[in-house]
Amino acid sequence: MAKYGKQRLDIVFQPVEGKALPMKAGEVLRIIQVGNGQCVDFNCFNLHDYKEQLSVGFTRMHSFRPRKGDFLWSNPPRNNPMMAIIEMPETCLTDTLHARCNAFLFEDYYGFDLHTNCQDTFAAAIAEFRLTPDDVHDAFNLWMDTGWDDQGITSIRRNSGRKGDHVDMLALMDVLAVPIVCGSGDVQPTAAFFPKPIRVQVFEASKDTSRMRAELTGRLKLRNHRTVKEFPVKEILATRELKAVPGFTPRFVNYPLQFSAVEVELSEKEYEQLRRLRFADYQDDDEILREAVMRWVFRNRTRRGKLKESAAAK
Amino acid sequence: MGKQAKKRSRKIKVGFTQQQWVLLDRLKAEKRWGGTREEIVHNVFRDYVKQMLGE
Repeated sequence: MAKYGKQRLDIVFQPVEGKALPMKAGEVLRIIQVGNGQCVDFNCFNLHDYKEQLSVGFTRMHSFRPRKGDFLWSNPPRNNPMMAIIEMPETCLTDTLHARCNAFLFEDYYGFDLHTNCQDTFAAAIAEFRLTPDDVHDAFNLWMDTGWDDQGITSIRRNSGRKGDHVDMLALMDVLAVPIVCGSGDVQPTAAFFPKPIRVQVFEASKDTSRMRAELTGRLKLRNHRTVKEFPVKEILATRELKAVPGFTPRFVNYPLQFSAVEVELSEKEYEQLRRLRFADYQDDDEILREAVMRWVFRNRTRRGKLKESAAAK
Repeated sequence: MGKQAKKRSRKIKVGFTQQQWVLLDRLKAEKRWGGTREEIVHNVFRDYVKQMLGE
């Protein structure tokens, strides 16, 4: 196990507190269960450009339940690994489905005028850095056991966290990390119907964590980590109302798509096989052939690239 | 004795986008899929049939 630097922060968050914590690359955030089973919601921003932030959607493409060895990724087109999960017990199940609870939900579900909720806790915490409630993003949820059925209906199971459990996340860039105590715990299984405190610690970078960070970020570099320099629009819009740019022409990637064809001669047997492969009843022969060939490529030559490498690092 | 019916083949013209060709053209380097686009499409189709239909 990597040796961390000196502990520089140790706070207990009561229900339903949270705090925005600036962290330098190479530092480690530790989140500890003080009681048995409390959901922790988590937001994360690039400390030097808040428009780059944790993308739960892109992170979910890697895993519905990020765990030890996985990464928290920033929003496309940035696609940078922001934090690495370097310690996580089996009793910490994670969630990328439920976004974040909010006051509207509790009014809708129970008729509350105002119930504690993660949207408002995040908003209260990040206001210290002049971020607005609109800047709160979908949360990565720790100690939250969710699932869905064949009809697509999601559910929340009882929190499986245990007192003393801890999760360690290594900052791979300078971030504003925002852990909070989930506000739903007294009316949902997210805290087994009794909200509890959590403890949060930050450890300074050490030789070990700096080396780990350098190794991980180096390995995860691709050409398509875009920066603001490459954006067609670089300035952040400072007005609320949207107005079209007169005469605007969008520049789409590889547009228009170019098609070129080849002629392939199939034997009678192969043609019979082609017809048996038909993937949908509206397909002509050329559509079946193209789909078969591209299904083969998808099945046999998709690398899943860096995401797969990340998983392999577990 | 009657003349055996000639097996009938079919010619199919199939189009791919330039992005699909990037992936298919890479297979040339592997040698086993053929050297032309026609050969690659045909051989990949055969392998897909083998994988899916076991034939």
